[in-house]
Amino acid sequence: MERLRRTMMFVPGNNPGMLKDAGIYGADSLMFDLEDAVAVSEKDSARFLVYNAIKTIDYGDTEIVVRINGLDSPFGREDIEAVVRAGADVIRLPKTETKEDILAVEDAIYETERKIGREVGSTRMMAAIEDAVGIVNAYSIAASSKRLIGIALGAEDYVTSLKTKRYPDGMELMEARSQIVIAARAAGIYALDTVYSDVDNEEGFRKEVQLIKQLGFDGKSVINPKQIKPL
Amino acid sequence: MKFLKNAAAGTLESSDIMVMVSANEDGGIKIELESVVEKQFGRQIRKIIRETLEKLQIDNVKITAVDRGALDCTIKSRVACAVYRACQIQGDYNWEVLG
Repeated sequence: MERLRRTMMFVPGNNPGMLKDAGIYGADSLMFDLEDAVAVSEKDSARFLVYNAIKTIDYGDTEIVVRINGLDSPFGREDIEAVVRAGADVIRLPKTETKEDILAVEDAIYETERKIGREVGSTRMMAAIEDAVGIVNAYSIAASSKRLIGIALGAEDYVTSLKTKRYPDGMELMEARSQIVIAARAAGIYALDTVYSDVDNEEGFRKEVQLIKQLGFDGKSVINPKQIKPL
Repeated sequence: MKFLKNAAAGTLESSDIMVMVSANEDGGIKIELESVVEKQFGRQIRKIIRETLEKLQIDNVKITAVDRGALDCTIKSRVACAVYRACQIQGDYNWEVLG
């Protein structure tokens, strides 16, 4: 464990204003999103923007994470090429179901690192687990690569895969959260919790933060700067 | 790279720039710029647009740009994206010249 990862703030990859200002709010990590926050027709423009933002804007000591599109999409491979070239600290893989998903991304990262002369292994990875298959395989995913710094729960898709929805008390996520923490601890990496979408409900957010701290999580994704201070 | 169609990239939101590209039949680079910070930064914005086009080895283009206070890195990104779209290139970008 080498750094604090209490807050990982989502920043839509195709929004220049948010990319410009993202560093001023004090998040431990910034996660530039090329996946769900970007329309299919804008994948190329977001990739150029994130590439140039990372190369140009000084985010200080803040860790720079980029959520790429999966390799099963037409965008994932080019995302990896751009993000490794730009010098991102961590690549976040969405919808991870098996260790093979991690190894395939690792291969693509390795290829680019070799090609451009970036130190092999210097691009770290994290995996978002977002469905029942991924939870069942949580430890195998967590232990699959030395590049992995952590695993995260993506709850919105996960509850859909369970045929339920998110409730205020979070009972539907209890098993998944426990599995994520156990797998991360067994593999010696970070456990990171999902987003809390109701940004105006600070009381509910604080309760959720207390719960995940009790469970053993290291941090949580946030979607709005105002969630950073309470966390 | 060869232009196959007119194309655009970017938005009219604050801190962004909308860039439209088309072939310039007369040859050369022609830039039409509208910017909220034209007086202070018009020359710099044109310079960044021109430099990005030169890096991409484009010399027969008309650019129409509407700027809303974009950083240089945003201008570069939007110009490159619009050019690649106009050439219908969707991958295997020349990243080395872009940054």
